[in-house]
Amino acid sequence: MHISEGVLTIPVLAAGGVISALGVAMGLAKIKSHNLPQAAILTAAFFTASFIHVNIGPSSVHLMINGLIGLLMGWMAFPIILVGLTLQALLFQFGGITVLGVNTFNVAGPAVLFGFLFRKTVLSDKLVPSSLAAAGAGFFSIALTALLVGVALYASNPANYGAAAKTVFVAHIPVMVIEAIITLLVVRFLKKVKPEILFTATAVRTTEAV
Amino acid sequence: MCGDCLAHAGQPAAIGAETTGEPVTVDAVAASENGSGFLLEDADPRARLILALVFAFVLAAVQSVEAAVLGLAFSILITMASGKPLLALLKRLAVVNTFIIFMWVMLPFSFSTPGEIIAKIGPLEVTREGVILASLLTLKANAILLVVISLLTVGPLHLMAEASRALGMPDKLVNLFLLTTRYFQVIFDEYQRLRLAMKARGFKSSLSRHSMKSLGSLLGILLVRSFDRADRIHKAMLARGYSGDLHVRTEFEFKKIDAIFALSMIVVTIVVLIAEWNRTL
Repeated sequence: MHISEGVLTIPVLAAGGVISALGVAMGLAKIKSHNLPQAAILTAAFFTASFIHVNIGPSSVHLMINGLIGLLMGWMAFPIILVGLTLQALLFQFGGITVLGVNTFNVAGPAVLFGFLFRKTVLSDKLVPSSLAAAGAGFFSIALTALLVGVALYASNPANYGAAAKTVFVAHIPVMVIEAIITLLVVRFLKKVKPEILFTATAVRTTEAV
Repeated sequence: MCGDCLAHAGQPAAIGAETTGEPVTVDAVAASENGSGFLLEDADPRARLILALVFAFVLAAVQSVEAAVLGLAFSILITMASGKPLLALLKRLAVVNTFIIFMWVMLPFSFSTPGEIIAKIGPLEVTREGVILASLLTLKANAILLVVISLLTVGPLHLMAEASRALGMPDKLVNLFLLTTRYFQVIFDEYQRLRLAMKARGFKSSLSRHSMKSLGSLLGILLVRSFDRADRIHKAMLARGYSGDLHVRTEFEFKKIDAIFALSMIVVTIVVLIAEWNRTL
């Protein structure tokens, strides 16, 4: 899902950087500094989730759960995903430093959008609409991420990256389905086991300093 | 493209080190790959960060193969100066290059601007321009990766975070990064324990209903425990007077050797830029 170094042009990299910087600023504004340790633990948890692999035949995909992050954390998805992608770039060289802005926006933008759109329905008591909304957040977040990856490629070289852009999107259709199912299952799990996590969005926003 | 995430499969084992019982830290991951006696580790982290970024973005902007080759050559030199074992790194780059391989699969066959056909594979036509573009991407990507590895991942990671703070990164973001690297080992340990328990019960990741449900519960319980832990730590820290400041200020010193390092990086960057201009003008 991460675009690697060296593929995109400078205007695309710059645009991604500027938009992501705004998103990160919005997210940081939501975190009070005394709540940073909590935000960090959740960031670590979401980063750890990206180590979970689902095998599809001979290949495997790792979870991104950006839909879930968006549902739970709202704008905080931006700093959370930026830190996660930075660690991936520095430790494993997935993605990269110059593409951090673009990749952060591609993953966090859809998370925030569908988080806001589906959150209310997800929180409702009705089982079926709530489940559908959770699955929708998972599905559409990945779909839009894949679309944005395609757009970034296309914008960098409209004449020649078109086929690659389309292939990226099609290749992600199974991932959309998997993320939809996982997001649905996690939301149902949280509703049963510790619903306050869903309802307060996060302790980060609600706990006051004493 | 998630192709480049496939290589992930091998990574948790490297971090997890379930059997060794050694503490799992982000720095340990970075350090495990360091060779001995690097020269660049001692350079001012601020200089390393800013110069690596400038060089990386210049490489990202390069459109000519000549400049890209030059850039890659410089990157290899910088890597050698950093003392990272080059051979091990190249193997790693091969694994990480999956996105680039994907572009190789796509570009030579899908070049839409009329290109010179140099080969035919069945109905597919390989264009010269497509091959050149794919080569350019490969050179650029690997040059940037090498610079990032050799300038940003030598020495402790927290120094890089502090350097970015010194260069104007917002306090909150840097602290979030530092605290995340701190807690990652805790949460990842927790995750490894859960995975071990699943493994002991014969769990295999697949697309089956049971497997998906298990993964959903795994993630769910990981989040529940993380939220609980976050709450406990928050209360404990507040009780100890935590107000949001980490009180870890690192003083950096720009020494003579840093000036030499900075100057060489600037020269290298300018040489690549000149190569690019000569080619495109």
